[in-house]
Amino acid sequence: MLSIEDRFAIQDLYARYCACMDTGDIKGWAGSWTEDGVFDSFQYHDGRAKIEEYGWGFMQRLLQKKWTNGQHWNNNLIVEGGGDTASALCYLMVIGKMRDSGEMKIVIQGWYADELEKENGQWKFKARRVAFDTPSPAVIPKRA
Amino acid sequence: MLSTTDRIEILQLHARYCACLDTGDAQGWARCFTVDGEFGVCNMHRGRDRLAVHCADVVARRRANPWDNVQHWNGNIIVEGGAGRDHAMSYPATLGRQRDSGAQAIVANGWYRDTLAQEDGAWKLSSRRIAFETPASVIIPQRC
Repeated sequence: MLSIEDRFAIQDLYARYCACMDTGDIKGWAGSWTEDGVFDSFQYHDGRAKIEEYGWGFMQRLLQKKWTNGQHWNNNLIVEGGGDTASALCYLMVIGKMRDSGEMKIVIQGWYADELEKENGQWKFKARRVAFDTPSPAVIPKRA
Repeated sequence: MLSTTDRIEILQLHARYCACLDTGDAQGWARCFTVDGEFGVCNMHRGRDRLAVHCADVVARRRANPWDNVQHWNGNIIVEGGAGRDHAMSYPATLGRQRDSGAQAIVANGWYRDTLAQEDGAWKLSSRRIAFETPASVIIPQRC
C-alpha cells in the first residue's frame, strides 16, 4: 500500500516531468527515469543516457511544429503499488500556441502507462509507454 | 520539509484562487494573498486592498471578452519548502465559451511562479507572477 507521502512524491514526479520537458531542461527530464529506465515512445529508448539523447532530438523537432509554447498536462493519474514499486496510468494533453494565429489549441492527447520504482529514495519511471490511441483496459492498474 | 497537511492546504489554496476569480469574488481572491502580497506580470499590484480592486476590475472587463463562463484550471503544481515559507510553480489554463458560437476554447495559458507564506496559520500567496511565454527552467523549484 502506498503512503500519502509516496503519492505526493509520485505526483511531484509527474509535474516535474512536464515542467522539465516544457522548459527545455532535458537533463532534468531524463532524470525522471531510473538509470536503467526505458521509454517507449514508438521507438524504444533504453537507459537514461539514451532517453536524454532522444529528448534533445525531440526539442530540435519541436522547432518544426506548427505550435510553440507547448505545455504537457497530466490528468486522471491512477497509481497502485507498495514498497518501492508501483504501476500508474495517466492522461496526457499538450496545449500549444499556434505560430500563425496565436490561438491556444490542444495539439496532442494521449495516455502514459508507467512502471515506477524508488531509486535512492526518489520515485522514478522504470518504464514509460506513451500511446496516442485508446489503449486496452489492461493498462489500468489493478487495485493493490 | 512540508507536511502532508501543508501540501493539501496549498492545493486547496490553488483551487480556491481559481473559484474566487471565476465567480467574481474579488475579496475572496484577494484573501488568497498575504496582507502585503503581490500579483502581476511585470507591473505588480501590491497589498490585499489593491489586489481586490484589481480583481474587481478584471471581472468587470470580462464583459468585453468574446467569451464567457471563464474557468481557470491549474496543473503540474510543484511546491518545495518548509519553515512557513515556500516556493511553487504551476500551469494555469483559462477556458471560455465563445459568445458567438458557443464553442469551448482554451483562451489563455501560462506559468505561475509563486512564493507562499503562512499567515495566521493559513497558507497564502505572498507573491504570484504570471508568464505567458515559456520561461527558463530555473522557475522549477529545487527539491528540498
